[in-house]
Amino acid sequence: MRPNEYDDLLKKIKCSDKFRSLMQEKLSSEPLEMKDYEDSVSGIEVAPKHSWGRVAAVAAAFVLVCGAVGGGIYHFNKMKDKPVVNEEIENDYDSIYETVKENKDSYDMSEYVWNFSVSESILVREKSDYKDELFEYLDSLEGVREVEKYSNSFRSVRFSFIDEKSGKKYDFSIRENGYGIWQEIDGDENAVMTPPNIESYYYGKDVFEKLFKEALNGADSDTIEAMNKVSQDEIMGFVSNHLEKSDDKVVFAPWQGAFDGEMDHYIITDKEALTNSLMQFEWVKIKESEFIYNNYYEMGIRISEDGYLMAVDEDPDPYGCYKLKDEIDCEKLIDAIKSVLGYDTESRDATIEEIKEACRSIVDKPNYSTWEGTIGVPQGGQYYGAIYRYYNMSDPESFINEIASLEWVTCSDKEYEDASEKCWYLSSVNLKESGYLSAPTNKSNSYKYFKLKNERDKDKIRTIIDKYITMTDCSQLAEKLRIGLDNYNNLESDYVIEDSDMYSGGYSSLRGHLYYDAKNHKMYMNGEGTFEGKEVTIETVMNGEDVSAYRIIDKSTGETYREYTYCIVSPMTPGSPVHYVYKSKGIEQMLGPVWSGDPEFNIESRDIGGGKTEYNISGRQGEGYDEINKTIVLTEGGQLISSESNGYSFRLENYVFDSPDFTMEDVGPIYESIKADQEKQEEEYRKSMENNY
Amino acid sequence: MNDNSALYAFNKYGDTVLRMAFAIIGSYHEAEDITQEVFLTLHAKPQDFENEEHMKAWLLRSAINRCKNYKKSSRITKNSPLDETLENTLSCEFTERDNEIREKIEKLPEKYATVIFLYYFEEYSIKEIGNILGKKENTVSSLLQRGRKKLRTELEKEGYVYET
Repeated sequence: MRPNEYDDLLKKIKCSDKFRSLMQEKLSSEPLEMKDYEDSVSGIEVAPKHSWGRVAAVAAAFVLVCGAVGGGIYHFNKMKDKPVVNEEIENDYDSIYETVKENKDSYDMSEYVWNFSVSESILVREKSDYKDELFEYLDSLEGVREVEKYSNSFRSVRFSFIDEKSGKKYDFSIRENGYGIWQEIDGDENAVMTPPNIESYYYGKDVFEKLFKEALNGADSDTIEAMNKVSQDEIMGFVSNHLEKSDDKVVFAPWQGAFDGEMDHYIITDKEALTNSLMQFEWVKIKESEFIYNNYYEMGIRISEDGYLMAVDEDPDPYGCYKLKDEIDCEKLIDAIKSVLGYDTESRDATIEEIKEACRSIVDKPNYSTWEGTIGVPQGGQYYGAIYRYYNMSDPESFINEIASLEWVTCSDKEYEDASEKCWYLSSVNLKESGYLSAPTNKSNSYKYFKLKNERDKDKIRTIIDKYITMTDCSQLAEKLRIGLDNYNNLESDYVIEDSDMYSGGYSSLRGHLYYDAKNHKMYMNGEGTFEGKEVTIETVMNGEDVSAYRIIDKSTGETYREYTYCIVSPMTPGSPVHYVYKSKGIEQMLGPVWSGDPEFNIESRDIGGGKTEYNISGRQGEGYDEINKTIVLTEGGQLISSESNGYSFRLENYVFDSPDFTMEDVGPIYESIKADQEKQEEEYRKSMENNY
Repeated sequence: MNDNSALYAFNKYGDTVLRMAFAIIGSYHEAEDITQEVFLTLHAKPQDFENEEHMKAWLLRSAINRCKNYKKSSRITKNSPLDETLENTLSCEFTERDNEIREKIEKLPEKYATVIFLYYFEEYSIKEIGNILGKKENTVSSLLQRGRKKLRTELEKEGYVYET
């Protein structure tokens, strides 16, 4: 993808006329009530809140109580008319559900909600008129199944049925994890825990959500707040319970459905420390469907770098699903998680044959490169420092044999990834000079990882690389240009540019003076001449590494003809026609392009005297590219003196490097002035666009 | 700020919000829905913006949140290509390559698509993106790197190279 393809597509995306008029109409009328549009813009208008005040000791034991329902395994009855269950079990007595439903008119129903973090049940509605609807709703459900075991959760809603005449009492409690329990209550308000006085079903989390919402409908704000509360004890109970049951393995997935090769594997080094850390944050309860599966860890619990926490499918007891109250705490959460992660240290010796096989692609698909610096999105100077170089290998078979002759052991993906130092991309094999190697397996997107068994062998890797690998001609010339950009102090020179490029606006011819403070990355170029058919003056500045601006003034009108701030790869901004540093950097990048492979240029050089060399670069960068024929002249130190191609020429005249009398122009004010002008123009443009609406 | 009205905000930043949503979701029609929700919310609940940048950041953040919800919701269905109807509506031409890029955008996880858009298209600095998203600069840099890597991997699978 070329960088501007993304921009080009997005530029085509704009509000259609129809959509624009519709919106203008809606936004010009009275606003509607926005119940469905409850917004959640955080981090913009909300001041960050921290929640470090409530540090509690970890309780000695985790005891979970859920309303009036205790633990235990029972065999339960089932409703005779089977409105909500799938299985049939013949029995001699009516189910509690059926009993209550048949006599519902004689029962008063009260609704309670319960949250572990506030301990007690809260009565939200006495003698509720929701009774008929409840049974109607329960009868309509499909897929409910009877269960013998049911796991714990931290919230429930309870419907209590009381027949004042007979004194009979029954409860229906449904937990947050979808388990519902019908039970008889004795005169002392205790559940009668023997069959047939208790029966349980799995209804589903959505059923809980509906009934919980129904119960809270009309509840006071204190109750609603209480039901959303998450205490430190709850988090302690939730996290410690799951971590204790889990093994030490941790899997990190960047998104749901990630391939094996995209996941990282760790072990957890201190479960108690993680439990303690997680207790320090403020959490809120959320629905399971709200969990966002981005950058999440699974280790008995599932916890994401975006601040989500929940139980995993394999261990649903106790159930819980939370989110950090303040997103701003995510960074601290990530630190807390990472502080207890260690490398999975399971390791074994790798055989010589195994290493040779892993390195096979080095012979089969020769393509070797390495890079230094920042490779980011090519904007805002991120890409300016990236150095990408391509190499040839003299004898791949011998290279592999020598690498395989070192002693290797397997290691975790994460240990490999975290290993620093230079990495060589040798076909599909990545070899780090710090002694790590990765190679694809036969499985798609899956890799195996090795490290040197003995650290003392680390230096041997560099020796083997130096023995077999040499930079390609294009990359050598690119490297010379890169070094030549700042291996001196200053340059003062006249310059001349001529351009009859048919793609430009017309014939251009500019000449002027250049000042370049190489060590501080400051440059000033002034000049005048013809540009796109106009008589102009021009100023170009670089105010630090890859921070540039230029201004062209039309001499006939005195008006600014063109004015921009930009960096070397701003895809949306036309560059200055005379930027000396970017010309040199641009040729370097042409010779050592990122990701695209070694260019297929033919380079011929000849000594032209005075310590200068002329290089003729011809051919194509690769398939699908235009043919070029460029001639450049460099000094012995790699400084660009001239460049000529396709009707374009640039050259320095009367140049002096490292002059003791050099005085640099103060480019800061010029840069700021152009920047201010540009911002003003953009503002005026925006206003004119608005006026067109 | 002189004008905090949603109409003013829409006229000024309607396209920006629409593009932001499209850059995350990869569907024009869903992006329109999200844009509508963002501005109608502002219309119903006016905000006190300090300046234009504050307004823009709020709108983008609001759109991002809605895109997040959209991406994790069951509403996600396979998007149709950028078709002729849309071409006529927007009076522009969509190439086959546009569709390929749209598919890549659609597949890119929300958090990467967001930072790539803000950085690459809106030209926000890493620091500014951090402020908008409530994330540290290091995290934003890391998301950019990972997003690029992910995009590259997807393109390489299909024989493309990310040429700069």
